[in-house]
Amino acid sequence: MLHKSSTFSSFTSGTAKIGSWFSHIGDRRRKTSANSVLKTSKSLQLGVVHEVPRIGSDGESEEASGASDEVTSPVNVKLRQKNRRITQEDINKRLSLPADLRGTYATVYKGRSRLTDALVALKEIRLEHEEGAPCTAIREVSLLKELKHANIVTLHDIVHTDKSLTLVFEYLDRDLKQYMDECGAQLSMNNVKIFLFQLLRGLAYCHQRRVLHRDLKPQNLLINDKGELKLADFGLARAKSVPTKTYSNEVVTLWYRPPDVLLGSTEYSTQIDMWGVGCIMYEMISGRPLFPGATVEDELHLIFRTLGTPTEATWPGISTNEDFNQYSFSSYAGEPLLARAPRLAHDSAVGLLTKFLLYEAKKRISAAAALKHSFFESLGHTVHTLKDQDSIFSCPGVMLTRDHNYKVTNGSQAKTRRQSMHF
Amino acid sequence: MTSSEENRIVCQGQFSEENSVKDDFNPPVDYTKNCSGFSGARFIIECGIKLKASVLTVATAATYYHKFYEDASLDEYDPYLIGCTCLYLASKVEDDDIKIRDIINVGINCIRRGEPPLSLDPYFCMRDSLIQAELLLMRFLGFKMKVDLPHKYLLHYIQSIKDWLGNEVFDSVPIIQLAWTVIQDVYHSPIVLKYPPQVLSAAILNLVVQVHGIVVTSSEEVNAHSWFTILHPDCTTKTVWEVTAKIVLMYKEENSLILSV
Repeated sequence: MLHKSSTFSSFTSGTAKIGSWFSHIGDRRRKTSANSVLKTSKSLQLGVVHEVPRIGSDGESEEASGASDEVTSPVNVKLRQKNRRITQEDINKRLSLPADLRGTYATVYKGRSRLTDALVALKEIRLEHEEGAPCTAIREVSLLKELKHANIVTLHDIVHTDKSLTLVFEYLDRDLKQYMDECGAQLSMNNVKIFLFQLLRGLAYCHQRRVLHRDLKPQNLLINDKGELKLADFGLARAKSVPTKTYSNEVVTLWYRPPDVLLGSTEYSTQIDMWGVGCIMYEMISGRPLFPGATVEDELHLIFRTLGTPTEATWPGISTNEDFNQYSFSSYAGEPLLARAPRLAHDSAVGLLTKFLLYEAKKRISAAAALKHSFFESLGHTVHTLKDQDSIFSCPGVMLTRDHNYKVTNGSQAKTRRQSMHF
Repeated sequence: MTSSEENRIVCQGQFSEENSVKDDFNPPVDYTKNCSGFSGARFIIECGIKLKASVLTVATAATYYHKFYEDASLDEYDPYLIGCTCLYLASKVEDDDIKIRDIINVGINCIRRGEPPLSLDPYFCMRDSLIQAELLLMRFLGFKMKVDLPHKYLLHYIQSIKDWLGNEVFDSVPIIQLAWTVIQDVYHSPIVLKYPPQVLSAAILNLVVQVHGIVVTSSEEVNAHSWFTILHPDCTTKTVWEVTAKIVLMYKEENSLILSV
């Protein structure tokens, strides 16, 4: 059982150390009162109902990387350790592992709140002895504290002991990847709209606050039984403020990574998230990932073969891009997306999709503008008047279609290998 | 204006290396003789400069520091340990890669000037206490670690004022340099917690134009409204002047609050 006030013991035992800072200085000694009580304490108790250690289960990683042995045991690839030798193989594995295992520092449990009786997901972050709380965790916590939206996973509380920090999230049954797998092949067009609209709503909210997600993929989009979709895993997200330096270009999972980032661009803007939205939209409609590249070159190759090799006309400045010239891709004319997925002809889906999949980042449609696209017309007008915290299903007429093969579970039946949460 | 601003001229978001040039203006502080909120904030700023931390990291760290001592007392928690912890946490939040070892070594060296770095055992002890204090600090902050800093507003307001003044007047005085200096100095004082970033920025810019004797208002609007009231609804004449006065007071008090070596 986790108890909030367990922190105190850790602090009272730690006060000797805090005091020692000054004793080393040898000037004057100060003692921290052992009885000091922090004002932040609350007596919320959380009982872990049944601890399901992270058993990753993700079709992608089993097939793509052959790292199934890694997946079945909660082995954590610790990336933040400086002195660890990281091979290319490790990195490839890392990229294809599910987000939670790849997350390097967290174990996720399912639990039940004794206060509200609601299911919660407990993301336990081990605190590294050498460096304290991991940057990714700190960033995720500080961002989620500010983001309150119906389409962003809710962070209920934070519990910590001296060994770990536990984030208490709302519990959602599955992620979009699992949902698509369970549906067999294709989602109904109505559901594609409902999911895509919610994804865009959540993103528009983030982007308005200058927060980039930077790691969009179906595994990071959580879905509950009602069909509510929520963005999760903000470990790589960053508040975008005055650009003081360029960002590292190794952040987005390859399949959903935009070509400008693949070609070494470090100038990130909210538009880097929009390419991934396009890839996810295609995947929901066609049932297959759009650009399942294994390496950067492979990924670029797949993109160019489908969308045409970029020229100065389609991507100003590309002819002087060093990375691009080094690869010397053959010049593909591209192939119509409609030929690959005829269902894109419905409701001008292809029109919206091509606005996401533009080579020039700044030309890509913004999340806010995409919400207004005629693709979503059938959802009605009320979806545009929702308040931040309102669910899309509060709009009259918006209902999830029962997808083929998809069984609605009431949570307790979900004893499949897909049970575990993904962040 | 007293001493310190002269030494902190900034280029492109980084502290410049000119600190040593005018050391007589700003003699090294003997932190062992000081234990005040002010000296702790100075300690953070000094360490930040030495660690080549970004301006935003230092401002975030100093904000944490002032928040911490709103609730905690200086007798219970050592301000210099908390100061180092604030810098470390801020560097993580602002994505400013600073090693914990550097923070400890620089921190210790500022306190015990000229002495050799710590040997291993006391170093590890320091590191443990810093990591413990990091958790404590996060709790004090209620895990709200992202700070809306005034810097971006200030840059924006400087741009506006440049348009109003015209290039000739604007270039004749070092508005940017002085404003950027003041915005860093202002973190000595807990007033950074008391007012929204927009008001802080407006007050800093107001101070700068006053110091240089520049009149911003265009002729037909004279006296009706102060120029900064159009920047943000919170920037009322009364509030901005109140903050401006507090900043001036902060500079005045500096010498009485900081004991030099």
